[in-house]
Amino acid sequence: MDETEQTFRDGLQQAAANRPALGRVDLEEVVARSERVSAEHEPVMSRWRTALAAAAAIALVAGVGVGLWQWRSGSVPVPAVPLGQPVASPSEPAPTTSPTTSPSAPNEGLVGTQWMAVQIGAASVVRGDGQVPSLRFTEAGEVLGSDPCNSLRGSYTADGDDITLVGWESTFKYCAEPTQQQRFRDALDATVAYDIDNEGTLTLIDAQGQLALRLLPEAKFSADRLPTAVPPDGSPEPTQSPAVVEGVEVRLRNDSDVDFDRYLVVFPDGMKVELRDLVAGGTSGYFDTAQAYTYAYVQVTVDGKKYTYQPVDYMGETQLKPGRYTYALDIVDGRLQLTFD
Amino acid sequence: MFEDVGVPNASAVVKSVNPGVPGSFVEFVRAREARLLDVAWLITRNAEDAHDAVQDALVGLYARWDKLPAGDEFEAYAYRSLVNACLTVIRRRPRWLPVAEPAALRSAPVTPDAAAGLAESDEVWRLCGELKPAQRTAVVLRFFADRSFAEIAEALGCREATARSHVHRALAQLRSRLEEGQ
Repeated sequence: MDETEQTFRDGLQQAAANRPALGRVDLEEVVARSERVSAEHEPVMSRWRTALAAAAAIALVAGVGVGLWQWRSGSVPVPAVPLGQPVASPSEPAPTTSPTTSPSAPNEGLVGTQWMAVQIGAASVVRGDGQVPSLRFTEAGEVLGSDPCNSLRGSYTADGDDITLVGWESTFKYCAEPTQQQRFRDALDATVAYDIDNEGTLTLIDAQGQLALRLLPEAKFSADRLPTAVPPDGSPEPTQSPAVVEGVEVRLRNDSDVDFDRYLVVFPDGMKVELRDLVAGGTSGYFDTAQAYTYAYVQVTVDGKKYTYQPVDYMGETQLKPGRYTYALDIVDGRLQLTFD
Repeated sequence: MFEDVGVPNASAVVKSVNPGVPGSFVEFVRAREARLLDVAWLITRNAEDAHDAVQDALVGLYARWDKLPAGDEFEAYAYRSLVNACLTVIRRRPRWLPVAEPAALRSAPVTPDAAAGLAESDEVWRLCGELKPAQRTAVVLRFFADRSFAEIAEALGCREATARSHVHRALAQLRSRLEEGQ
């Protein structure tokens, strides 16, 4: 075995051995919650059984699928019409074996709307020669859509704000916009949750809690508002290629000659990171954020004294491209200075 | 409702898990809860979250207990439930890292005899804290739970190549750090 692998094994064993006592599993609570969830889902199940029977009949009659290309053949084998179990909990995976069940409740706001993509990851959808990527969720558990060049079909299960998108198939036409096509498909593959805000915007979220896709209802969408395929340049170049780093990642470096006991960063998208111990000359890990500029709000604490770097605003600034960046911090004449590195 | 059945031999319970028998759920929990909590702790890095994640996963397992497959399929299902629960907990908690936590999470005090080994394990712990949750999960499943890449991919709901990439990138990072520290 590789020496580094062994180090990993030993390190994780050590960490587990040192974990705090977490208490035993509360079996009474497990059973009570399980039964409560069962009771709450029972009426929905009945409705879905009816819907499923109708959907299955329609699918048999339609006999669609000629010329389709399955791009995710290695995915979990969930039936095209998703089949759930009688009880759903926020954490349980989609079933893979039972043939006798029904899906969890669909979200009415999700179903039936033609959703037009406006953002993929940290970047806007760009307007090019192809069509704007879009999705439509059906009551029968299908997702129909298109990327810039091809039509798509998959299936989904929604449970609370969790969603699983699987079984994607696509027509297989040449695409002049392969990058956007691939990013759209990767975002669909990464999606594990969704949210529809008060303004009706649908956000698909990945397992890291990051925005995978943002979509608007067709009625609120205007292609004219999308940037063109060649975006204006001028933002700083990342230290690492966007091909390697998918989003914007920022770290801090302590260029001062004192240790920071604590440090707090607030990014423009509202994300806050507060950690302790950044020694003089040390560098933090990278924090991924949806939005960042060449500076941000930073506060550090040294021997109980707080030093703050307070941006006035971000007007006129260019958002950083996906990549890795460093904010270098120093304390000069009693003031915290931030230099974009 | 449940009497404590003690902690039977864990591997024997795993082999004999019989989801169709209600009593075997208690046996399963008592035999495996420490391991489940370990895995959840390593993924969530927070005591309360780890406990919540295990409870959440078990709610799902109990609800389906009489319909779950046995053997390896059961193992895969159980891990997938736990990983889903952990990632859900992480996703829902505020993106504000608690300052009080790191001190509590430190490894045991360094003693002169074990200093070198503990320094490396500290580096592993620190590195894991900087990994994204999915990548950290892949590492924990690979090097702590001894899962195959196919099993990791199933638990994470990603491609096997992605699972391999998560692990290999983490290995490269750790290797680089250890070399820097020498």
